[in-house]
Amino acid sequence: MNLHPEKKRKKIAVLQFSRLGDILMSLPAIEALHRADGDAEIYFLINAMFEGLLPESPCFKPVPIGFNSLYEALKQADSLDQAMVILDEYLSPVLDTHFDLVVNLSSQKISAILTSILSAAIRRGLIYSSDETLINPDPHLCLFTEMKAGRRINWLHQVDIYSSVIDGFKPRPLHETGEYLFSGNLRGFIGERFIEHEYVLVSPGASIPQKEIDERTLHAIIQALLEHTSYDVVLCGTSDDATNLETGDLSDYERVKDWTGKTDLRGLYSLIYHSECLISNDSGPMHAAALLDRKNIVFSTGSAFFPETTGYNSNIMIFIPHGPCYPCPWIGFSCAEGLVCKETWDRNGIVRQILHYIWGTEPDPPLPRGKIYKTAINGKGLFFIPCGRNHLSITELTGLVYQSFWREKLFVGLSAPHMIEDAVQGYCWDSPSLGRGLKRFEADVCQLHAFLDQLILLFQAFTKSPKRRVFDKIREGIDIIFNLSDQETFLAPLLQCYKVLYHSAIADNLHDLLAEYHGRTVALKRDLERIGRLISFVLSGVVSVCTCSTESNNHS
Amino acid sequence: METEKKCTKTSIVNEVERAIEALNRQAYTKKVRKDLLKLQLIREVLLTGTQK
Repeated sequence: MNLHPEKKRKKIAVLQFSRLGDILMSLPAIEALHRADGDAEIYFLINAMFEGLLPESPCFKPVPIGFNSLYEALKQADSLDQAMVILDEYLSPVLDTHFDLVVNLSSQKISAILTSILSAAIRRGLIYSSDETLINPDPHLCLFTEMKAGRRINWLHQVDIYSSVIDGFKPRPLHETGEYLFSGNLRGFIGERFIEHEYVLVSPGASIPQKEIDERTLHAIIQALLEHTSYDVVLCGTSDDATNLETGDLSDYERVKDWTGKTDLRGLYSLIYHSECLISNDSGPMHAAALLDRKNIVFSTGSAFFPETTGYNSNIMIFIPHGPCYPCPWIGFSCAEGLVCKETWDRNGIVRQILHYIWGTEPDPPLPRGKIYKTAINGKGLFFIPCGRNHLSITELTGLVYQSFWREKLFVGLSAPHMIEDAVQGYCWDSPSLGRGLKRFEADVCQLHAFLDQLILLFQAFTKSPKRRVFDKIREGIDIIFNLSDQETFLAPLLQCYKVLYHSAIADNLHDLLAEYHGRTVALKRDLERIGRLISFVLSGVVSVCTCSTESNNHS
Repeated sequence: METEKKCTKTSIVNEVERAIEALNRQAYTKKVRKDLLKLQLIREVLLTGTQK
């Protein structure tokens, strides 16, 4: 008889089918899972095209899923039965395993379906319902999938959101996460240095054209580095960048070496690790620089929004463009303004700031134009400190308050001034003078108070406040929520346990959906312009409707 | 050749749609649920195509 039966090891699957940067941003969540239970078997499911991206880890096992080759194989299937057999083969590493926990950190439909297929005791993140809608039962990850709607005020970093599903998560710079997870393997994985001279690495290309560093800015940076420093300049990028990226004529520069398309991912790691500094856009190499703890200057353009996606490390410098259209509303967005954001760079100012960053000094006087931030990490997460000024815009302050609000989970007993104070105090830990300066922000206080009051009201309803009854009452009688508003951000966590259909999913097939939900109770956020068609269905008795107003917290 | 491939892909997607419809009419057991999800995944992979 075995008096000490072996404790059953927990099995955990973490899904991340996005690209290089998202995979690296998922590592802190894996670290938190491993710290919580060092015996757990953690499987990290990633797209096979990024296989070999990470060194071997004693803490987790990467499981590559070959979606591209699965697509090719399914296309050639002779029958549905054969397609099912092919699918089973591709998913065999995970299909026969029972997991104690599955955490889906992706927002694609494919990841939601796979999350639902896996046998699991607990699921976190997007799942797929029987009637083919996406459901997110987790309030924080729910917020993540809602980001596109209210993203200009959403200053919560993806790492913080990913990790919020794990109890006891403590924010640490990504390089510390790398040291924990790879325990020395990272250095061997990087490989030897293959450029002798000291250099600054520039990665101007990206998978999305809007993110690319434009040719004029690239040449301004190269000229300044060659003229004012002793560093060589090395360019890097993918084979697609080598073909498509417009870098102009580089042959006149003696100390410029172009390694674009000539390295694999490990070679890219080596180039970054041995560089003095990486100058990049908001894409994969930026996150690799955070993992390797290298200096990093980031040009944030396109659909990436810097508070959500900047490298998770301190001392990263970020340039964002002028203009109210930043960030682009979605990936694949076609800019009607001809990418005017790239024409508004103050190139002289940027170049001066880059040189000072590399030298470790501050420009004096500070730069007159543009928005520049530096990152810092404390016990609450990643912060963004404005450079060369001590005031905030209304958008910035609102973003900070929102970030602070979610991090602290301050649901009750709050007032708007307290929240502002808290957000401002968050910056004082690192820079007391900046913290004092921030109190003189330029924000429209009345507007901000109105916003905060709405936020507080909602979350009081979510907790022990008597107002919670209103939401409970709404919840009791509702099967489906059609959310037709652009302002889902605050409502979704409140209604987390319900199926929420978003505007994009229902705009084109409202008639069919209503027929499907015949007889059920449907909740709508009030948006009179868009629900006109729906009202006609109500009048014909197809469905019953209640509208909920987030302003008055009542329903009718 | 390319046209043939597209036809095959389309016909599999159509078969998947029919199978989903048929399963949706059946009693909702664990196995039916899992088969439904697998079919939906096949359809999604075929419709999404390769991911670069």
